[in-house]
Amino acid sequence: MVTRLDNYSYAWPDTEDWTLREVSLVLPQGECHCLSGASGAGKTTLALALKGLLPPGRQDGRLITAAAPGEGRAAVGVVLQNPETQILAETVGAEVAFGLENLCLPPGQMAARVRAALDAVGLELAFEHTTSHLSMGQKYRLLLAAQLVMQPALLILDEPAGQLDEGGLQSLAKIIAHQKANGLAVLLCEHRPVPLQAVIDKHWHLDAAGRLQTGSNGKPSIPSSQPAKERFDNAHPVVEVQGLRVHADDATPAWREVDLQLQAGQRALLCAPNGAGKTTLLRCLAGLLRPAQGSIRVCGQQLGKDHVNRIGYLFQNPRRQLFETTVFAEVAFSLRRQGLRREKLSARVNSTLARCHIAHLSGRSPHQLSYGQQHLVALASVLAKEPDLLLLDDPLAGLDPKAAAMVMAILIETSEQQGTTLLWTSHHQPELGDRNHVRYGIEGGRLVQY
Amino acid sequence: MFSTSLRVTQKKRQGTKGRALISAELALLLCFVLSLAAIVERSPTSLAWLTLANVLLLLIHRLDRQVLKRGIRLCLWQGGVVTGLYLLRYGPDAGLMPGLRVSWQLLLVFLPGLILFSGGSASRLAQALSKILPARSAFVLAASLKFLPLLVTEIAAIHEAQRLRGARIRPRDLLWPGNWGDLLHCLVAPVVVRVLEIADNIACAARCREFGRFPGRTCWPGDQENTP
Repeated sequence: MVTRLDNYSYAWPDTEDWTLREVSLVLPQGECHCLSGASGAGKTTLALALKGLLPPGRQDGRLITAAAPGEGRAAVGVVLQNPETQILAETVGAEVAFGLENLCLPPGQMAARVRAALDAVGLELAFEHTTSHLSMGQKYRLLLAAQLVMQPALLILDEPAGQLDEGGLQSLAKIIAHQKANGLAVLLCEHRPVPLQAVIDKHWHLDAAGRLQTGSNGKPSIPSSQPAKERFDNAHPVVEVQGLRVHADDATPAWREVDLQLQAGQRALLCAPNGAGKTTLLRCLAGLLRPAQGSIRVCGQQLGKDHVNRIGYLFQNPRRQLFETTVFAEVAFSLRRQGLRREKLSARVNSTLARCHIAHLSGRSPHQLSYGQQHLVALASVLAKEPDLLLLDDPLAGLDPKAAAMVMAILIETSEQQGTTLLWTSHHQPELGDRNHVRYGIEGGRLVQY
Repeated sequence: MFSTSLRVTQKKRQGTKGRALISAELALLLCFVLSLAAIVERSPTSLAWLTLANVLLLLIHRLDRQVLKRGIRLCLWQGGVVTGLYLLRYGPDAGLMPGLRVSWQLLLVFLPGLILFSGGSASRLAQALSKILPARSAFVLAASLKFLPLLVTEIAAIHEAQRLRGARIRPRDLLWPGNWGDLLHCLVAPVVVRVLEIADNIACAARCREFGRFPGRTCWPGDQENTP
């Protein structure tokens, strides 16, 4: 059984450009192929094409998927990016059985298939275990089980590294290796394949024109890979946190108490696994979560209402921040609220857009941009108010290496030119050259500096 | 690599749910009758009996602490807003008792559903609904309820993001009608966009698992594994 595409082209309805152009691809059983490409290049489109879920647009060429013989089987399984919108049932058993219900498998045959699928991904959980209590890594493995239960010939995973930390990726690599040995073909749509390198048999790259080429595109050029070594002994403190604790009802982070000091212009990375409490700490620093104990001082003053203009916060999902009808208005919003006069506001917005390389998008609707462009717009809207402290919640998540390098370059420039203090989080060790002055992790319930 | 464990573990594990005390069909019927009664009945005696029935349900079903806390908070907010509006419209003498009664009735309309179908019971609801609705419609309805908490989280996140950008949408800001525009512009608009996006993602996830491939569906027999 082989899945193959022969000179396959596809254009979405009501669009002139082809998203995929003359793509030829063979996915033999027992092999894992990795498909890389910039955000918006068409990786998800290709995955949906293989699954047969694309709407009827213009098509050319041939697509042959492996047949699905036997009762309760699907030819192709797909795990999409966000586990939160893919878990459809309240309990582990019902979740895994969902596909079997849709395939009309007799109920009496379901339990054994569900248990076997859970075993295949190493989830020893009772059927009645609630899905909402699972960690991100467990949720991803549950979704894998929910696909494997349908015994597909091809399994497609759309950007797993965007969701999983190092531990989660190691588990995934073991599962893929095991499934390959059982004859399953796997296609990873991933622009950060390094942690899964051991199980990948072949690399493909989808270019911006939608053409498929063999081999990965290599790493993007980085401004500099030398770690920053400046000293900040004489700089004034921007963040001073002492004995910070949160209420157990608000959050249950891996840290119990946090002490943290960051100076003006310092760049700090907090690197910890999923669920460790990175976002909780950022929310405390932004004044969004009231601590149970401890003190937070920003720019020498206790955190209060006046700090709104001094703190910038970039959320993990930029779409949560966008609401205006044009990119210009989006970036100008905070400045209008600060009461800036029109000329000064216009100059500030234009310079910020230029710094973020999106000046050409000024008149476009932010909602019609690609994910990478939306990310830059959200970043520009935060940078425009020139905050003293910039908090960034996993700012590189979901970005291809080129876009991630661009975001890092903008952040470094901002920190060096404006003296902005940066604290950003990630669940991956930095690959793009560690340009941070300080790196933190969470060990033994405390923040530790590496 | 992973041990095959088709044998059934009998021990209770963390995060598992206990067996439901009443069937999903009976829960649905009870929910309908109690909520309807809360709309129709207005006398203090009837409302007192309905309250007692809800308290009994609460004792039997033992609601999750977090859900209960959020429910009480929401109930206090709702009561405050409704009674406040009645006081504004009719004055303290004529507005207080009707305001309290209406807010109490509203609480009694939603409480049975909260008790019977919260904390991981959407699949039970889907099973019950599938007996009176087509299988696909029952799934859509149950999934809508299942994703309500995600929606609430999303709204809270958008609210925080916009507040930090200077939107005047804190409760105290909204006491001034001049700021209501911000609520629509900065909160409702992005929420609508995100809701559409989430709905699209959920639909895609369901289709990736063969939802809609056949006109009908079979039904997962339940979460209780049989002992060998």
